[in-house]
Amino acid sequence: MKKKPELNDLIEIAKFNFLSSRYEAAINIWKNALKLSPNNPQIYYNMGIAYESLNNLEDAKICFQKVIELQPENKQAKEHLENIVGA
Amino acid sequence: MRQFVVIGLGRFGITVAKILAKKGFQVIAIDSDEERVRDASEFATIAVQLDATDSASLQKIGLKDVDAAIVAVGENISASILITMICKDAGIPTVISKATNPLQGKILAKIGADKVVFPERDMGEKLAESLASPGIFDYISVSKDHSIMEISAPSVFIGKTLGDVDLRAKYGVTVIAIKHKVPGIDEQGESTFSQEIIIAPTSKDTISKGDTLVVLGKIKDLERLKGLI
Repeated sequence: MKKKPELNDLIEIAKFNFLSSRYEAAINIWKNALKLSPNNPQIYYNMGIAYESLNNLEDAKICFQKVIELQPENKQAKEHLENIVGA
Repeated sequence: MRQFVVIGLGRFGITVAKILAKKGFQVIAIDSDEERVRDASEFATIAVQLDATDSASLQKIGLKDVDAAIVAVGENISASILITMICKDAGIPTVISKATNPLQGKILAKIGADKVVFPERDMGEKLAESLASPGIFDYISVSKDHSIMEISAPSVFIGKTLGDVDLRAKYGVTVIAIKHKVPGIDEQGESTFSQEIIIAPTSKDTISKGDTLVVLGKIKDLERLKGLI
């Protein structure tokens, strides 16, 4: 029987894809990871970075805003959002 | 060490003063508003509250060693003209004056401003360009007919070299830099990227996903390129 991927496996595979510049693949895996762990700021943050790497600033903004909503003290997410929005 | 005087500490003036001070230059910051002067005193070499339209007051603080004056009182047209004249009469080698409309700009130039800047107009231009084409990140006017544009690399260019896309032959524009993101993992183990800038890329340089191309060309040629974004 095929084992369902664990959350940690998905996270590692997504990061591996990201490091290999396979940004869309990484984003798809982050989306699958969200199904296992919705409202997970780590997933949203990494997805935001992947979108930003693709110059998809609209979706990156949404991800970073979600991180800040879930983790108001997240400095890195705030910095990335400021970079995108300009303030 | 170079010395600057910034007269008018509104949003534009305070920003100029702050950045010059951060870069290690001596900055004399002047405004008639006490609160603005107090804010500027945190980073300026000297922050002075005075009415800069009063020539005697301005001369008292000693401008003979100043390399350049930035007259940032654009909203008050008569004040900006008067202060520009006072600065030129004081012998300041370079006087840069902010203007809010073309007529004010022409007058400032005529009375001796070495350079007139239009920050609102320039920012409006950039914003309009980026709104008109979302793939444009920045837009710098170089001359009446030429501009520099920062654009997200169009999908049709991804994986190709600059030689393959041959923008110069096909569009008459030159890629002067490529901003390339390098993926990595930060200290917390999360995704991150660093920015690598390739200045004067060659025909062998490849365009990757997420790259930003800095392109120089005639405005009409850049307009044609926008169609790909």
